[in-house]
Amino acid sequence: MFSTHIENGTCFANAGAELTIYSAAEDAVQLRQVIQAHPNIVFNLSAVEEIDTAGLQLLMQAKRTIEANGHRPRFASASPAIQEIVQLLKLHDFFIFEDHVNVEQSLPEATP
Amino acid sequence: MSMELALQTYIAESRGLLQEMEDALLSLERSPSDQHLIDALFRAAHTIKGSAGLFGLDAIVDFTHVVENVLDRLREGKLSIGKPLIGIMLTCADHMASLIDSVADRDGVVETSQVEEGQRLLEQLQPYLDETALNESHSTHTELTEENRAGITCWKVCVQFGQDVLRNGMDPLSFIRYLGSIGQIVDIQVDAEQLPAFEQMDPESCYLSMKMEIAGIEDEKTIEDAFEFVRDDCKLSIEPLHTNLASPKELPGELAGLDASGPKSAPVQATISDEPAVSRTIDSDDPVADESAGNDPRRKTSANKPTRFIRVNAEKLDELINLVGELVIAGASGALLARQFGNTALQEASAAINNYIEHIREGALGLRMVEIGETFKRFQRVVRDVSQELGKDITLEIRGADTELDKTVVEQIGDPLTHLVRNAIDHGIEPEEVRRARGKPAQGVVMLNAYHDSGNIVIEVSDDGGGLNAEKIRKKALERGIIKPTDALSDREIYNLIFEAGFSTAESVTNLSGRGVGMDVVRRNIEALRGSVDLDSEEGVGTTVRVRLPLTLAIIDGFLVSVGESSYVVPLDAVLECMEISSEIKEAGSERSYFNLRGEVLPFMRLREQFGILGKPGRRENIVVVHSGEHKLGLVVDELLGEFQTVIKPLGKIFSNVKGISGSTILGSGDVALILDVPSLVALAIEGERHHESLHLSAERH
Repeated sequence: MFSTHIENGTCFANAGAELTIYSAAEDAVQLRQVIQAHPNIVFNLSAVEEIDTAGLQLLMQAKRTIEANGHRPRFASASPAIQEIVQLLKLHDFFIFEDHVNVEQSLPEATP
Repeated sequence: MSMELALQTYIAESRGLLQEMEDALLSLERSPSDQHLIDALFRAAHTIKGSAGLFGLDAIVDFTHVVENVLDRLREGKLSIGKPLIGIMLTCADHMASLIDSVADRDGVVETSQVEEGQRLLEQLQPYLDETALNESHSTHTELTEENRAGITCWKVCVQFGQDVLRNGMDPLSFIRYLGSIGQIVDIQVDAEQLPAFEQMDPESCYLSMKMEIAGIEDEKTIEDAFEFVRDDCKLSIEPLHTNLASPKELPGELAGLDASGPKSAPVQATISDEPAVSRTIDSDDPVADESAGNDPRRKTSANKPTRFIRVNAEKLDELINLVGELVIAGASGALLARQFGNTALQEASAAINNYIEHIREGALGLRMVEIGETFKRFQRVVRDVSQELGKDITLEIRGADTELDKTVVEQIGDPLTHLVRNAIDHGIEPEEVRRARGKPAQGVVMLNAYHDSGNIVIEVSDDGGGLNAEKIRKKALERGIIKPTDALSDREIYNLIFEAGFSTAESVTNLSGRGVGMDVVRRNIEALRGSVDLDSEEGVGTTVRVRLPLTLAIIDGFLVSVGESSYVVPLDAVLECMEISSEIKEAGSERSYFNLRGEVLPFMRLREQFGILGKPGRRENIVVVHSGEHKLGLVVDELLGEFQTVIKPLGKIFSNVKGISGSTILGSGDVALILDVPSLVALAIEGERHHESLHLSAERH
C-alpha cells in the first residue's frame, strides 16, 4: 500500500510495511495511477518491513516506466529490509537512495 | 511441490543431516584433527539453518546460527575440538532434533522446556564464541580468505523463474538468500528485461531472472538443491566458471563417462549431460577420496558426495514388490506350460522372459533392502553415552555394515539391539580395575556384526567382557524355579536361560538395566519377527548374542519338494545336498532317526510324519540335507522337483503355532506350497533326539 502526498510538485509515494505478493495487485494499480499523474516521484521506502520478489519487481517496473517517460524516479530512506535486498542482489546502482530528500529543493531533472 | 510437502522433505532431510552431525561428532572423538569431519559438521548445520530460514522456522534458525558460528570457528582453526565441546555439540544436535520434532508434530510450537534447554545450551556455547561472532547478524557469511579461494570453484548460475513461482508461494529471493548463506555470491544481476509494459504486467507473475556468480560451494548439486522447491518451475543453468586444480579432472571424468556409455546407450548419455554431477560420482570414487576417508570408509557416502536419492512412498514400493511377486508366479506358470507344450521357440521365449523377471525381482527386492550399517552407526552414540554414564571406557566395533536386510526388519530390530548393546556394556564389560587384573586392555570392546546365513540374517552383539558364570545362572534359575534340580543342562543351555522371563544376573541393579525389562522381552521381540536368539559365552573372555532373523517379505530361491500330494519349498540357501534314500534307512522304519552320511551321523526327519500326511511313502524316497548354523538335518521327502523362485506369503494367525513352516507360496499350477522353516525344523529334530536320548537313559537306569 502506498500513501501519497504532494509537496512542491513532487509526489511522495510512501510505501507501507509490506511490499509483497499479497498486496502486489493493489500496489500495481496505485503505482500506475501515481506514475501517470506525476512526473516527479519520490519513493519513500523507510517503512517497508517486508519485501519479496513481487514487491521488488513492482519497484523495478515503476522505475523503468518512469524512466521510459523521460523522468527520473528517486528513492529515499531505505528501511533495513530494503537495505538487505539491495545488499543481497547488489542493486546499489539500481536504487540510488537519497537519505534526506529536501522538500524545499527544487527537483530538477538531475544529473545522474 | 506444495509448501507442506516441501516442509516434510525438509524435516526428513534435517533428520538425516542431524544423524550425519552426530556421526561426525562421534568420529571426531576418535580423530579430533580431521578437517573433513569438521567441514561435514559445518555444512550440515549450515544446511539445516539455511533451509529453516526458507520456511521461517526462526527457533531453529536462531539456535543453529550460534552452533554454526562455533563450528565456523572450529573450521577456521580458531578453536580446537575436545571432549567437552563434542559433548555440548551432541546435546545441541539433540536439541535441534527436538526443535525439528516440534515442527513435525506440533506445527512448530516450541515448548517452554525446549526454550529453556536452548538457553542453557547457548550459555554453554558462549565460551566458544568470540564477541565478533556474537554481533554477527544471520546474513553475514564468512568472507573468503585467499587460501580458501584457491580451493574453491566458482559457478555461473542463471535462473529464470517461471511466472507462477510467486503465486505458488515461493519467493525467489529466499533461494538467493539461501545460496548466499551456503556460499558467497560474488556477483549478481537481476534481469528485468522480461517485464512487459506496466499495463500488461500481472503483478503476481514473476518476470525476473537472475545471473550470478557463486563461490564457496563445492558441487553443482548443492546449488541445484537450493532451487529444489522450484525445480519444475524454473530454468536453471549452472556452469563452472573459474576452476581450480581439481576441475581439469572433472572434465575428463565427464568425457570418460560419455565415452564409456558408448553410442548405444543414448538415454543414459542424456541423463549424464543433463546432470554432470552423476559423472562426478564416479570420479569421487577414486583412490584419493578413499584415502581421505581414512578409518571410516562409510563417510565417503555420507559426506558431500553427490549420491542421488529419490524418496518413494513405502506403500508404492510394497505394491511394486507385490506385483513383482505375482509376476514371478505368472512367469513360473508360463514356463511350466511352455515345457508341457514342448515348443522350443516358446520355451526359449519363456526362458528369456524369466531371465528378465529374475533381474526385475532382484532389482525390486534391492529397493527394499537397506544396509544395516545405518542402524549400527546409531549405536556409536548409545555406547558413548552409556559407557560414560557408567564410567567405563568402551569402543564399538562394527562389522558387516553393508549386510542388507529388509527395511521393515531394520525398523523393528532397533529396540532389541539397543537392549543387547546396553546389556553388553552394563553387565558384559567389567570395570576397568577388573579388566586390568585379568590382563585385558583397559578399553572394552563391544562388537556388532552382521552376515547372511541360510537365507537368514545373523546379527551378533558381542563383548570382550567377563562372560557369564554358568554356576551363578544355574543357581538363580533354580531359585526362580525356571529349572528343576534334576535337569541336566549343558553350559550353553544354562546361558540361554537368561532369556527366560524374570532373570537378571547383575548383582547390583543399575539404572540402565535390571528394571525388569529383561532379556525375555528381547527374545519376545525377536521371536515376533520370526527370528531366534541364542547366546555363547566363555567366562572371562566374553559373550556373544546371536540374533537370527528371516529375510521376510522377500522372494527367495527355493527348492521344491513333494510329499504325497503336498508340495514344500526349502529355502535354497539351507540346502546342502540331495540324495536318494538308502534301503538301509528305509528298512529301519520309523524307529531310527539318524543316518550315516559319509561317516557323519545326521539326524533325519520324515516330513510325512512331521506334517501328518496320509498315504504310503513313494517307492523312491529322497533325502534333502539342510543346515541351520552348524546343525545339519536330513529331510525325507518323496520327490525332488528342483529349484523354484518363491514369493513368501505370510501365513495367517491360525498357523502361527504350526512349527516348521514359515510361510506359503503359490505354484505356477495354482497350488499352494508351504515354505519350510529350516531352523525351527532343525531345533525340533535336536529336541526330539534329546528326548529320545533321555528316554533311553532312563530306560537304562531302570
